[in-house]
Amino acid sequence: MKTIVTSLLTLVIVLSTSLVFGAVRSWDVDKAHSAIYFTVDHIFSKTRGHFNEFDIKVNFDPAQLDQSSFVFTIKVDSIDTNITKRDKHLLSADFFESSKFPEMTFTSKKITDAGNGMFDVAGTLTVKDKDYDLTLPLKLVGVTEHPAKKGTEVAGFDGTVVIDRLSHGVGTGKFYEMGVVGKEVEILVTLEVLSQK
Amino acid sequence: MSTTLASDPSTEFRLAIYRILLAAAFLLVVSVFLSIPSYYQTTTLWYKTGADKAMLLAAHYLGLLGLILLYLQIILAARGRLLEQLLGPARLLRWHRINGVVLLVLAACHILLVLLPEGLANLPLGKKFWPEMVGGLLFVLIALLVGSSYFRETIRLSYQSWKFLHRPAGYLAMLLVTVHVLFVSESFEQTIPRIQLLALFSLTVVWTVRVKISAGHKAANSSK
Repeated sequence: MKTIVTSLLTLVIVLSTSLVFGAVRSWDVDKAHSAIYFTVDHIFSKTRGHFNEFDIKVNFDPAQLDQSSFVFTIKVDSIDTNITKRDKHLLSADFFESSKFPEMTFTSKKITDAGNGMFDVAGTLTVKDKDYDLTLPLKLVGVTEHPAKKGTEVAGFDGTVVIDRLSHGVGTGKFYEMGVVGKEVEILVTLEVLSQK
Repeated sequence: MSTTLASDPSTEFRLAIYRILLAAAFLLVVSVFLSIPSYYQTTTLWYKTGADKAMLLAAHYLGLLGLILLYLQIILAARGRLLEQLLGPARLLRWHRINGVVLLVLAACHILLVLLPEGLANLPLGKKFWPEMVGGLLFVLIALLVGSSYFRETIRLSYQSWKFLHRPAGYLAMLLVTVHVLFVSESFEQTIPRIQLLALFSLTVVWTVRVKISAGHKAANSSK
């Protein structure tokens, strides 16, 4: 009896806290229609790749930006550039050293409205266990009822950021000095997130 | 006991010529296959420098030498009248046993030299690395084949059971090495190395099948 009362009280406290502070809307990532792509120069051409395994937690409400957040967790060994041997090389100590550092994360600290549907998501990018400040400009492409799933809303986000891989510890600069692999990596984040209406 | 033909000087001379021709053919196959890593260099090698490059290149050479010796192992096991006449069954058996150990050592060195440049913790595991995993399976199979042959009595495996397992496992190893090389190596995406490999595989299969058919006929005739 005592346990039931305690549980009910806890539930009431949790629910009332959510109501008082206005829990920001939580969104689930539609992984089939979301991706983290990257592009890097190879001598003259652009080499593209993406990460197949990632998790993104999205709490977002344009009216409550101070309580909104994005948390990205990327499994490094899911890198895919369409050539398995290149993927293996990227996972080696020459680049990501995935056996020691299996994940990369980006955790937002502050989201600001930059106007015209743009939101600057400032946060911490963690690569190879080292933290770097990064601002990811995300465009809220739209929010609409999902055409194929009634009762569910879908929101779209797109964002591009360019980072210097060498200043983030991805590579020693050997291949950059050889003129083979560029140091600037363009990252494209494109998301569809779903939430019950 | 050797059953090599040695009746008169002219036969001896003819056998010596055949042996030289056989050795020359083997060396030709070895040299053709060992030229592949240099002539049809893989892009993986482009991005390796210093010791890593040397290790990977050595791994390619040792792997290809292993491929040829594995095919040779099947031919040595099948024997056939020609090889028995030229070299004698005892020598063929001795070479087969030595070659098995050499194969195991080559396979182990190949794996080590391939993995070291990418890091031993960065193993090629998973669906997209299936050709590499076929190679891993092949290594286990070779180790089992060699181990069960040298320690058959220690592990209390009867000769019949050993023979029943050893022969098909050997053919499976030949198939696995062919699949592994064809799909793991960029060099073998090129037409000429691909044709060379498939030709050598076909020759080994044809040789073995021919010897087996001939042995079958011989057994049928002797039982009449």
